[in-house]
Amino acid sequence: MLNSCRNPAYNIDVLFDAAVIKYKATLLVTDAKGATLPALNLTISGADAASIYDFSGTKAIYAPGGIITLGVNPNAEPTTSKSLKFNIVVKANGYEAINVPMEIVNGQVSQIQEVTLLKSTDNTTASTVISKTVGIDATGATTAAATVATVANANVATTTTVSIASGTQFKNAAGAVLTGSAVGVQLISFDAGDPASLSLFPGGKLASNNVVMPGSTTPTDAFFIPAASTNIKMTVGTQEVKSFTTPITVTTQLDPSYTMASTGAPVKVGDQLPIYSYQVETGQFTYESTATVFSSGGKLAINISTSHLTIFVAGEVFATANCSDTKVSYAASWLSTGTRPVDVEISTNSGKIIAKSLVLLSDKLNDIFPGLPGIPLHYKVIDANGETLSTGDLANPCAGNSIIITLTQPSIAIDNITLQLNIVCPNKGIILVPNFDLYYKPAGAPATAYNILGTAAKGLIKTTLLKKGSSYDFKAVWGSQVKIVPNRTITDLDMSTTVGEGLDLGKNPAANNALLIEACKSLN
Amino acid sequence: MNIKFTFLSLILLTFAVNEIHAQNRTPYGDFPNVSVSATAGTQGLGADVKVKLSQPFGVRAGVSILPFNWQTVYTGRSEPTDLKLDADFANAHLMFDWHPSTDHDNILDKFILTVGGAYWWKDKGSAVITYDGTYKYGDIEIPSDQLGELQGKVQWKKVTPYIGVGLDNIFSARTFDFGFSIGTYYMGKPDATLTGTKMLAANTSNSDQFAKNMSYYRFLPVVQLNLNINL
Repeated sequence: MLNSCRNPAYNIDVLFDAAVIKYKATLLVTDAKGATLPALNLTISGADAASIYDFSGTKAIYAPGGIITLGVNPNAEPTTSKSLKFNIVVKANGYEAINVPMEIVNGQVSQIQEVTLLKSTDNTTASTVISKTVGIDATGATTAAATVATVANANVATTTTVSIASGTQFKNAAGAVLTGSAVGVQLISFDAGDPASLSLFPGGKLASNNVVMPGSTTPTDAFFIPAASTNIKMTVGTQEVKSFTTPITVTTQLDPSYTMASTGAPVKVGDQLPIYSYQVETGQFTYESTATVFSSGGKLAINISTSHLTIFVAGEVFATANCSDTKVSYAASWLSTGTRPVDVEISTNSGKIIAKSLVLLSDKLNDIFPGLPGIPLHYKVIDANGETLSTGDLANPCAGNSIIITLTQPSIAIDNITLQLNIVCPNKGIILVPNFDLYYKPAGAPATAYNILGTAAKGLIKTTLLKKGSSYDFKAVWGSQVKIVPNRTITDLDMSTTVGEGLDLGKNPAANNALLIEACKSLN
Repeated sequence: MNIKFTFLSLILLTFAVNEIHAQNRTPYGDFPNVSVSATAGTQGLGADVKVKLSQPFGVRAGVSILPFNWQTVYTGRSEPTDLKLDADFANAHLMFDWHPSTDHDNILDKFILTVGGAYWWKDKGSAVITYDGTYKYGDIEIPSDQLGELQGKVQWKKVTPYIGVGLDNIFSARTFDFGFSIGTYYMGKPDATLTGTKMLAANTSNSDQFAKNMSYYRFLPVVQLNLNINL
């Protein structure tokens, strides 16, 4: 045998392909009014929860700055015959909890969900809130009839009123009557006609795969077009009220511009609207009853009589279990190899926006319009600068058609900027940088101004959002860590940089050195 | 290439050299004196034809074959790695033996100095490095077979020189005797490459280090026993 003092594997660290996780889903959580969010509490549930990890590979899910990046275990990826379905429940102190249903289909390696958290005490452009206490006696019963009503304002013209009969007792989830000095009532009324209410709808979108429809006990897929929705919470002391001994009456005014999608006619007195309740813990909608539209004080409204508490939604519901999603291919040759985030809006014939998503556009990108109802719809693609890049019709979004959406080039000048980050660790050579989402804002803008730039694949990102000569702050998120590279000026179309020990650390040596140390730490 | 081939060669050589004539008679025996050897040692198993030209000088030609494999678990700087080394060596060699001392009638007469060389029709090795155990990417477990492996291939020079020493005729009977030799081939700096499969496919940064590690493997030591059969 050959003679040597050196083991062939000496100083060889096995370096792994950093792109272990192929399927990624990003959730961007923001406050409805743009305020800074407190720490988020996250729970993954649902059929395929076991396959979902933080993109860094940990089971614990992180949300630094409201950015949640989920990944699928490479051993449990979706197939052509089975997609992955799970829920993510997002909670924060002082905010209404939200349960977001998620689906990852075969080939959908990246998706972005925008999630809006509503502070329980905030009025927003699409919602009003009222909190009131109602006195109860020693048996826990109301001593007189009580009414709690939201107040209309310049933004939200519709109201919701809760009427509680005298002698009503309040029960917790276990069915025990609660006693105390008063019952606290929190009532949120949503303006169903405002596109901003879309993100405040239960689950953050109108499509759901967990709907118990009339005459059934099994949840199925459905799509809501709400005319009204309201969130009612009651507490006695610290305990949450879940039901009552006497039904309460909820009177909610309808979106005055609501059109019945099934007939194309504006809603009117005498129309029937189904009422569904929603539980955030399970993410499930359940049919309750059908209400008849009436007029009161010149406004159309419906009454809901209920013995339990929850979120209520009134409006048409379309079953989508037998639907096949529309497949979309985007054509944007002007993008070349770059990427650019765009908003895609879906609306009904009457102009009501029923779906909105953020898409990281690239030329020849394949995507889907998931869960849409089988009624004529329209799509609109809007550029980051507000320009409409494409509009079109979807005659039957349920038929599984394939469409090509050709996007016109925005009128503003576009620079195709390449950012490539190579990291050279001491004694290791160039290491592999895992795929990550990169966010940006104009240099010096407030922290809430960060927007998604794109996804860096193996350290490379090509974008059309940056302008040569401008300066930006960049943010990357990995696990629980946030890395910020401040005040980087785009001086060239190709801003590729290699950071390494002994190498020129470029124009921002302090920031590049920090990146170098961070990336090489895990190898020592 | 196996034991069968070795013995077949031995038998053929035995018949082939039977026809050598023209011997010189000296006080030390007849020259040239032909024998065949079966060899076993670190360069493998082999067979030689030895022609003793005179008391001090002899020449040998033969073949040796060494199929070899070795496995170990080695803990690298941060992760345990499983190393499997396979080597396949086969050479045809030509050696010149010199007895520096021929008239002391003692053990010094048995000492030989050898120089020569070999042509290697096989002199390559391969190393397969895998992660020993289950790798954890965060909390995701990736077993070694899904991770892939690093494959190192090493190729030495085809023609290499040899130098060595030995003892001849340590124990002899009428027609056969034993000897041993110790020496080394200089194999030169090998060509070494490292590639990866599956999740290790992009492991180019280790290729230079592997080549550096294998550059230390330049000598093939030979410790060999010879069974000589005089013809």
